[in-house]
Amino acid sequence: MSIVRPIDFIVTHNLELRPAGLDPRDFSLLVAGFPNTRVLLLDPALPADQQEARLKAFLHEKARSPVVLAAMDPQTRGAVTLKLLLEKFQLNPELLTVVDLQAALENPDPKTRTLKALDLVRLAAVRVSRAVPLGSQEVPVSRRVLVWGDSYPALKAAGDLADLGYPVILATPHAPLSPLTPSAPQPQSPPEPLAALLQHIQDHPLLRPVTAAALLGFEGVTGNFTIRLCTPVGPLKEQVGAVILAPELEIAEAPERYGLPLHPRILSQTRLEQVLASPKEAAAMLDPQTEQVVVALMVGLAGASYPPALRRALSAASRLLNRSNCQVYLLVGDAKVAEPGLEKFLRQNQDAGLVLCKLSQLPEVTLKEDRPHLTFFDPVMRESLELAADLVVYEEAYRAASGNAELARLLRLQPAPLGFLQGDNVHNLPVATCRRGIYVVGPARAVMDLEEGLAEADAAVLAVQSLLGPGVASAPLGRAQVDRGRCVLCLTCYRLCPHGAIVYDSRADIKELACQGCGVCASECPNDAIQIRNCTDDQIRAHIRTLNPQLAPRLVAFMCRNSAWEAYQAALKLKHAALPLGFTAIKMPCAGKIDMDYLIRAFTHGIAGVLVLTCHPDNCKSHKANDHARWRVAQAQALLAEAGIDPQRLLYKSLAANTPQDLLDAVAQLRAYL
Amino acid sequence: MIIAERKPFAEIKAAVAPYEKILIVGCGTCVAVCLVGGEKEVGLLASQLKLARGLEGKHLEIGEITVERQCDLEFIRPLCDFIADYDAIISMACGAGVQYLGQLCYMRPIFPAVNTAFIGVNEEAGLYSERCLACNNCYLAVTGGICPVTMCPKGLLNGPCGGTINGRCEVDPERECAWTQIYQRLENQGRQEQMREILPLHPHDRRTTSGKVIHPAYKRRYGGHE
Amino acid sequence: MAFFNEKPVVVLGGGIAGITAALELAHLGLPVALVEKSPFFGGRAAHFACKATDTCQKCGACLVEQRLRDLIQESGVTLYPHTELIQAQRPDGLFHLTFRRQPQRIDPHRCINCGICYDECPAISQQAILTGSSPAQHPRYAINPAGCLYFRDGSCRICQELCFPKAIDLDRPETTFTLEAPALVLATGYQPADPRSRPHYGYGFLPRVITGWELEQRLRDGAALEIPGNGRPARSIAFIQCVGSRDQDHPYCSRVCCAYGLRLARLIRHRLPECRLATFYMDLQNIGLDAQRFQEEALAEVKLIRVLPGDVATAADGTIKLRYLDEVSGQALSTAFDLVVLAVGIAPGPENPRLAELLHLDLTPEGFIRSHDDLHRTATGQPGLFLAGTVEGPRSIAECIAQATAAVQQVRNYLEAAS
Repeated sequence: MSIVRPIDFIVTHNLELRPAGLDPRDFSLLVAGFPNTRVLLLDPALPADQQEARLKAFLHEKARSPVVLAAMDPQTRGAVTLKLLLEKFQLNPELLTVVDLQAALENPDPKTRTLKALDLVRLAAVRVSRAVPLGSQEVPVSRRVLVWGDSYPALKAAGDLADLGYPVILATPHAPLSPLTPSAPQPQSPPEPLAALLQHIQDHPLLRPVTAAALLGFEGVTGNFTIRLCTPVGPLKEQVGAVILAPELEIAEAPERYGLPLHPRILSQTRLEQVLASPKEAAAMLDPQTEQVVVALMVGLAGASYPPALRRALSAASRLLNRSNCQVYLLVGDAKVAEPGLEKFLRQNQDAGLVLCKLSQLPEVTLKEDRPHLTFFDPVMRESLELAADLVVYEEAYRAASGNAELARLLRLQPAPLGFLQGDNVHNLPVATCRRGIYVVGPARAVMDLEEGLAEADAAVLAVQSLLGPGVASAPLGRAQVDRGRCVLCLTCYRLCPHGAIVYDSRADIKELACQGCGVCASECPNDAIQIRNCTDDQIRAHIRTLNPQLAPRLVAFMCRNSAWEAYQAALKLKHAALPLGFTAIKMPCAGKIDMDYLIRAFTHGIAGVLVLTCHPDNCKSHKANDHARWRVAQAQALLAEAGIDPQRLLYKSLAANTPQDLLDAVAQLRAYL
Repeated sequence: MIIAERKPFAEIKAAVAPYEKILIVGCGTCVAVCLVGGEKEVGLLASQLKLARGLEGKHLEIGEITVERQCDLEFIRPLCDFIADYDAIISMACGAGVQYLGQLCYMRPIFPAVNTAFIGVNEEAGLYSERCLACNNCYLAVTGGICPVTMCPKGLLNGPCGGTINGRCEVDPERECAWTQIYQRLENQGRQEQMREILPLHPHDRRTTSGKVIHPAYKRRYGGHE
Repeated sequence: MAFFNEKPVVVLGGGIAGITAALELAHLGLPVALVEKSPFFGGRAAHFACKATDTCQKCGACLVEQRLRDLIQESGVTLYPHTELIQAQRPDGLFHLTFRRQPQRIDPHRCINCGICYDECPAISQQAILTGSSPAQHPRYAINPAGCLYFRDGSCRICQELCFPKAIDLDRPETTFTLEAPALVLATGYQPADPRSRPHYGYGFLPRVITGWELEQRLRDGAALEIPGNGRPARSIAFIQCVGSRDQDHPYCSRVCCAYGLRLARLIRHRLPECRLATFYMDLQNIGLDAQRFQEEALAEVKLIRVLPGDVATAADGTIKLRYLDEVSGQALSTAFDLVVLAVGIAPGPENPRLAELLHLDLTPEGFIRSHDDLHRTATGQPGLFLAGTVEGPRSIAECIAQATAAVQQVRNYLEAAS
């Protein structure tokens, strides 16, 4: 039977069970026949105080037995009972498992439903009887924070954290501090609300600005990182608890993008702004004596283009249009108006006389009589136009800070597009990375306007406070453990951990404050030295061994709890769904924990088909744990083929929590194949 | 460390076909680190054999155990207690471990599950490359730390052959010419003059089969001579 | 931090911004009351479909689902569904907020989600019973007094009579109650722009013209992409962008439609590889972190046509013919599609004028709630009152989450300073 310790069962007598052929009373008598078992039959609709009284009489005060709650839709309709168990009776969540009896009602034949329900609760009992309660531990952490970068979001985060009492090192490769407003004309003066910030940074006793800095080394884990900086006054080594990355964007002239020759009348956006800021230069370039000065601004015609660039072009256009003699053309590819107020600004400029030409290609630039001429196909006039301009202005390139690649390497961050620092995975939003305690904000994440960056700085400051608190952080105790006797220090877990949570001395050591329980380490360990509680090899193997071969077709699905398990819960509620009688779902904390051993072993126990269901690529909460699962499935298929088992009995599919139909399709696909 | 690769399953299966009770012994050192012979792989091989035998309708009993390493008697001696319960042994260790275990448990046939490939380095998880042939006459001092015996397919000791093309090897165009790399390395260190030293013929007799090394500090214990 | 004697911070609006704010506030240990006008939490984004093809398309829809599940489990948040703000005063620094609350006439302790009430309701077309979109919502059904016959004239009690677990009590009265809150976060969201604002697209009288919002719901329900009234899968689908954005009545870009329109198109291509797809647009906004790459990949799957169709006609075979000016040839072209999807933009929430009046806030000319500070769009100018999400202007799910989190940090700073 394999239930290794006493279990308390709570069966709820939901209304629809008896008409469906699953009489709760009969069922609980059958369950009581399991060894080591006690059963309580409970009405889930009773008010909380009455449920509490019944539970109190049933549950042992001292003996902390695991509890299996079998109910219809327990998470919602059993919510009162669950809440009582966890809060009033302080049952350790690791010792509580729920079984949704809806899964027993899936099969159209009522006679099989009791059999199926018994199978479900037995499997749940086998697994939870081997569970151990998880405690929590207080981990001392450094309250010091490293803020890297000199953008306004970086300065704000640094200032706010220092105001809250956290010592801050503000380090940047720049000297002096040179924050940008991405959509403001150069040269820049700080926007009004941020003007005092620079001074505040310099004066604050808890804030240590370090300019012209280089990051040489970064070790350690969440709460206790060790940084080594190279500074003009010598090396600096410090412990920090958390890191906020916000290095400023680089705005590069990059005329080669537009294929433009060097010419005094072909200007970058910055150069135009400088001209406009200087009356002498403006007079020279935009001679007020001339009747008409033609200025052509080019935006969004070569490579990546962003709303701040358009805003700058429009600001310059407004100023030019204010000069009575300027005719201004704006040649755009796609007008990037997706920021507040930009559409209106564009319209205003058009109303003031701006000529807007939407092109699909770069214009050709030639020089005639020392003036640049632009040739392009005008879609409105439907003909090729040649525009003789007095000034041609091109948009600059907005790029991530050039030091980011090295920074990402040192900090062991997952790769990000275009040289930015936050991996492109929605679970990182708003400001997290795959490593707890390292946050990415504003210009380190993407090209965005200042307001959004400042909001992200706030979000990061909130996160840092929650993590570091008064210098002690709370972490689980015993969730991920390395058996030092078995560990051979092969470094596989250290290398593969998506969260950088593993360090090593003479053996691998998993730091529980940084660990997110994905299980990749446990699945890949060549010596089975790592266990993740409560999804240990012991539990899963017992689960597989205990499957009832009578219920056919015997299909097993290993489900990531973030996607597939939720899709399964949703599928159970769909009216048209009909999962086969022998279908069993095994809940995993993450696809990372789906060990190849489980897959092969399932077949040795006579299972007909196995499904591995994970989150979609790029949607895994642990970066690539789902890819690891997919690679393991491919390898397992090869091993099965070698052993003479048809590898197509093992099917991998990715899906989302809200696509129950995908799950049903996957089951149908496997079943049809068999 | 020693890098090995799992033998094709068909070969292992054929080798143990006549036996009904098999003990699979894993090794927790080199082969575990290169992910082919540790406890996990022992389990996977056992499952594969069960499945394959099951399909043939034949009976099979498998025991699984992994020891620290198979090249030390202390770790394999305890196996003697129950080897008698099995008809055959599959060892997942490198050739040295298989032989040592085979010598100890000489009454039972022993079959290797891996091919011992080379002495090499671990570049990344799952990626290994050869560095050393154990020739017992190490040249690394004079070749800037790059081994001409292993990295040059011809094992040349005195500079590149005429077949090197654009720094690539004529025998395997995927590889860079080892001697070109040696030269560049020495040049980076300001030691290119080292190339002028002519190395004599490689003393193949130092690498005779069944080599034996007695550590100098233990010579008297074992009565060994130079 | 003194919590004003355990008075809760009130978050108005149960969409992604409101839920994020409520969860973050609860994680700080603050008592929270989350108030939602409709019977279900999750907001509009809870109706969105996952748009993954072979890989995640990073639309953020799954985050809504996830946070909704977390919300239901979170014991620190008191939930007030089907509750509306009717009065707000601030005599002493605390917000005195009066709410009208519809009771849960379908009792969550008894309801078994069998759906019989919904199936048998005679006024279902008047939306007498509403359904949620996520399994996390329980019950999945709610009686809507605005459409229910019983509330109109007492004539019908079918649902109550048929309900086997006796979970429905139509006589449960609505109540009013007051909360005193030390701080308030306004996150009441938006409404999809009215596609009738472009009457020439025939929305409302051509069944094959639907909105992006409707497409999302259909995909989420797992519905195959069928032609309405026909049952056949669509062989050609056109998306028309900027419906209800960048025009006279909505002089702003809604910021999310290019992204959702193209992601939906790519999802459809993944599910129906034979389906011909075209997107009509004005200016393609940046989609995702690597916009160039997304655009190149999309170009391989969807025909991008840089003009909005002039008008729409039905052909004899029922397909919709879109007429547009071809950029290259200068000719007017007409192409037929089985289905036309209008990518509607983000319009201000219908309650904005009333909320602005109640809370002494201003509206922008476009109708959104005006933030006080362009650099901190959560700020209202009133201490302790913050904005989060699309109530303030169009923004994506990711941006709503960031902004709601920032608002929580500001609530915290405000409460620390005030105590």
